[in-house]
Amino acid sequence: MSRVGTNTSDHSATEQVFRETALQHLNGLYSYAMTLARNRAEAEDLVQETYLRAMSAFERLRPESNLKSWLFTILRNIYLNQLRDGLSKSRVVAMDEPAARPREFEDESSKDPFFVYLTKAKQADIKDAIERLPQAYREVIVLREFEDLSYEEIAQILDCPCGTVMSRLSRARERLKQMLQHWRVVTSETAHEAGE
Amino acid sequence: MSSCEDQPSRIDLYLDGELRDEELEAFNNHIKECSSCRRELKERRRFLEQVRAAGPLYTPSTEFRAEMSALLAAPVNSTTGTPQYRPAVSVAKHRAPFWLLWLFSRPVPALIACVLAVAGIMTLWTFSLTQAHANAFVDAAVEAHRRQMAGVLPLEVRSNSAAQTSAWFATRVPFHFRLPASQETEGQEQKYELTGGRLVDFRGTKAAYVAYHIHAQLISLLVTSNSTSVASGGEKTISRAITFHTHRRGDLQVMTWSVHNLTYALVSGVNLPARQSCGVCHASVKDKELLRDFRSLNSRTQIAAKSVVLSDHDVWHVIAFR
Repeated sequence: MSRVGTNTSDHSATEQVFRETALQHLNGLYSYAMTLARNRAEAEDLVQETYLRAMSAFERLRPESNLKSWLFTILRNIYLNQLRDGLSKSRVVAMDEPAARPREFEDESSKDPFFVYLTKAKQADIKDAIERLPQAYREVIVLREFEDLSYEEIAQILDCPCGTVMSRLSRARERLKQMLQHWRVVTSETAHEAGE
Repeated sequence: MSSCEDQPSRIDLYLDGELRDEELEAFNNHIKECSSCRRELKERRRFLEQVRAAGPLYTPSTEFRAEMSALLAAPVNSTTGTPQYRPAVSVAKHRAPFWLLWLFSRPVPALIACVLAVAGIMTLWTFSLTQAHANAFVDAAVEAHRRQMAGVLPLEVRSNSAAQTSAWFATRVPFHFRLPASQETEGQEQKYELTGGRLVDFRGTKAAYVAYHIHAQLISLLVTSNSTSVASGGEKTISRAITFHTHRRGDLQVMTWSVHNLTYALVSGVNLPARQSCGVCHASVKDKELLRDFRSLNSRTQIAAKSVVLSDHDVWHVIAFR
């Protein structure tokens, strides 16, 4: 977890750390922005606005603060403000968003074309299932599974108790599991054939 | 932590790294002893690994990454605290048009607006189509009239009998042919004479052309179904619930009206404003004076109408000729 501002006297060093660390979170911020806005242009605007505000305010960030969850919190607040002001177009379904490149399967089994095919198909299905989750569930899944944030960090971003995060995440996972029920059969069969 | 009932949530907490100290120790002890929970743990771990392997869900474009990199590298204005950075290309270029975003962000008003817009377009389209067909019918009537005058549109039935002419058309046109009913009204002095008729083509179907003469002047009547054309446009004159539409085509006046599922176009050389052009070809007794005036006139002389009495709602009004 990246933390900044440990030494307020060393302003330029802190600034440098901030600049470098903030860019490392671009993928996560963009992914979260897309999760909220579901529109590429709006997601890009959200990320850009997040960085602009963070650059103006990072000096006020407390030394013990977590930069990543702080950035995510800023982004979410911008989004909520836009939503409140009627400026968000989050109901617009993104039609121009190219599918993110699937992560290459790094297992030995990847040499088996059928296994590779199954893996890619499954990943596509998982993405599709996450996309179809209600926003509250989608949000916790993205923050937990892809951004690896703790319950406490997620609770801070969502401005809710840890218990809420826990129960929401549990329900989101259950829903996801139900949506991907058909894969359990294929996976078992494949695993069986693979001699598992 | 001996009970398995609490374990599903503990398993999630364990996998998420949220168990600490005693809780973690108790969980590890339970897992060592409980094969069922071990199986559950393995299954859940595998599921979460698969979910995580599907990421990232979205990836920013290379261009956007470069823009954000430049933004974060830009010097910050010491006064305003904002970076001195202007994006080379605004991200707003990707934004959909405002009206489209508005439509999507407010679905109910947008739906109503769309329905109204479609209804408006349909109304305009229907109106335009009706108008186009009405104009085409007027033009067809004028064309038939001119060809008849030029002697190149020979009549196929010659009769001064309305009954015979109607009978001839009855089996030849795809609609219930009907001559204007006022001709048969008793007590009227008929000032025109039916000459005959023939079939003409109009919009791919048969229309009835009927020729009349009044004091050697040709009056043409074109009749079609109102499913082919409905009277529309021109100067409107309403009489006895029928709307007459008066059109000018050069030196000819065309009056159209729709009644009894038929549309009529009457072509003559009348050259008066619509509201004054009402002379009655088969006028009632009250119009005798007017008709005397008319009779005494030279056929090329224009006169003004003094009064009008419509004897029937299918009546044709001819006051003066030039």
